[in-house]
Amino acid sequence: MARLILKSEDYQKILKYSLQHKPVEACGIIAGIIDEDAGKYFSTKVYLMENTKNSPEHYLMEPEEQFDVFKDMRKNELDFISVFHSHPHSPARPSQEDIEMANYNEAIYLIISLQQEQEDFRAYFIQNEQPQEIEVEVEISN
Amino acid sequence: MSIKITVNGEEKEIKEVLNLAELLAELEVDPEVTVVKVNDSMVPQGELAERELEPGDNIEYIFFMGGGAFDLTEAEIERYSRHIILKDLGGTGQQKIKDAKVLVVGAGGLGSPVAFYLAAAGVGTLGLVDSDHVDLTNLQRQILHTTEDTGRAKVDSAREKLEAMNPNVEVKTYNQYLNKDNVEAIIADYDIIVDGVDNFPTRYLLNDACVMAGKPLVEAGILQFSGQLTTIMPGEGPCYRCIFAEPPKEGAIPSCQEAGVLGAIAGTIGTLQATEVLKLITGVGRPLVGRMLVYDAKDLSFREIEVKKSDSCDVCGDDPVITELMEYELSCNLHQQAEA
Repeated sequence: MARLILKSEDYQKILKYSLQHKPVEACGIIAGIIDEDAGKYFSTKVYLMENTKNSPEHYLMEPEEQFDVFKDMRKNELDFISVFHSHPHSPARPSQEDIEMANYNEAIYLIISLQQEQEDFRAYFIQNEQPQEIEVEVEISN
Repeated sequence: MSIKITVNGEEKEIKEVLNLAELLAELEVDPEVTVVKVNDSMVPQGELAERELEPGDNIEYIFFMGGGAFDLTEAEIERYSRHIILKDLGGTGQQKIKDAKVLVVGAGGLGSPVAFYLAAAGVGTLGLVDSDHVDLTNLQRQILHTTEDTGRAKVDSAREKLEAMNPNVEVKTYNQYLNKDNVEAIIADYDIIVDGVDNFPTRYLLNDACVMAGKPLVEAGILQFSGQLTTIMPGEGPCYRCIFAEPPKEGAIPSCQEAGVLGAIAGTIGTLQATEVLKLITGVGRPLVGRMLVYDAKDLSFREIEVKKSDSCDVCGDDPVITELMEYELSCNLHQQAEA
């Protein structure tokens, strides 16, 4: 099964950003290295993006900001791994809106639920409007 | 004649003159979800077909990245529109209601309006427990059932009406009598429990089970022209035993056949129970934890009594003596005060 492997500091960065934005949805992009043969997606860089909707129920990134991020990924020879966003009040599963707006077929969609006291990180491929959950692993740095 | 362009950082050679719209079509990119730049300038969607590619053009495109927490369909948004426009509720609140799982114990006088209003509100999963069959004497107040349902299992009659009210709700039925051997397993799947039972042994069993499982319990009872209601939040406020340590002694209250109840009171109190459940789900308002609402239908008045958690409560106190579920013997006299 495919696996999203987050560096511990990336996990914490995403969590902190999500908590800071609560009750509004937080969003961002994860870049890194894809080992296709092994089905492993390693995070190396997290881009914290603005949610232009500033809403507890929706998120939308600013296209100009996305262009800058993709440019940076190309410059640093990083693979585009994942789009993440938080669900401040609901479970970590893709909503109908998440599915409809999953325009990157090959990206991992990471959802962070802050509904309970303990955060919940879950990741999905969403292709042909069908979410398929994959494992999330947090790598402890040495 | 071929020209060389760059697309998202990669060099491409295109063999014929294309415009941007044609290029996107060749790349199988949906222009509706795409933002395109040429040489660092955005090209509006409506102008893609007008812009012909030139040698050395640097094309960049991204797809919209967005989404939301909503799982509501267009039809649901319309159905629940009167909820969604409430500032305190919104789509977030409605989503919580949809995600909620509520168990209503008793599909009778109290259970009927509770279940109806929770189904109407769109509670995603509604469980119903009742082992009884519809009787003519029920129809004066148990509005989930009709004359045609006489003799039917209450849970079957109830499910049919609730599914007709709102097909989006998953109704799960338990055609069984709640006892100490099944209560834990039944309540485990639910977030909030509603007491609509008609006897004290089950009332106390349900209280104890909810306290031990840490499940909120919306507790109510009706009798003659009065009703009462409180919300039990284990660990935060009093449980039923903090208020009434044990069932009334046999003979202390009128028999079930003698007492009677004004049917509409079931509607009043049951609707208040549904209101409490929706408040617990959405976090709106202040639930009746540590407070008991007492209703007098004769002069249509409500009064509120403060009820406190007891440190010496047998089940939720500092040194509980009831650590395993127990059952009282059911007798006709113990149907009073709890008549639903």
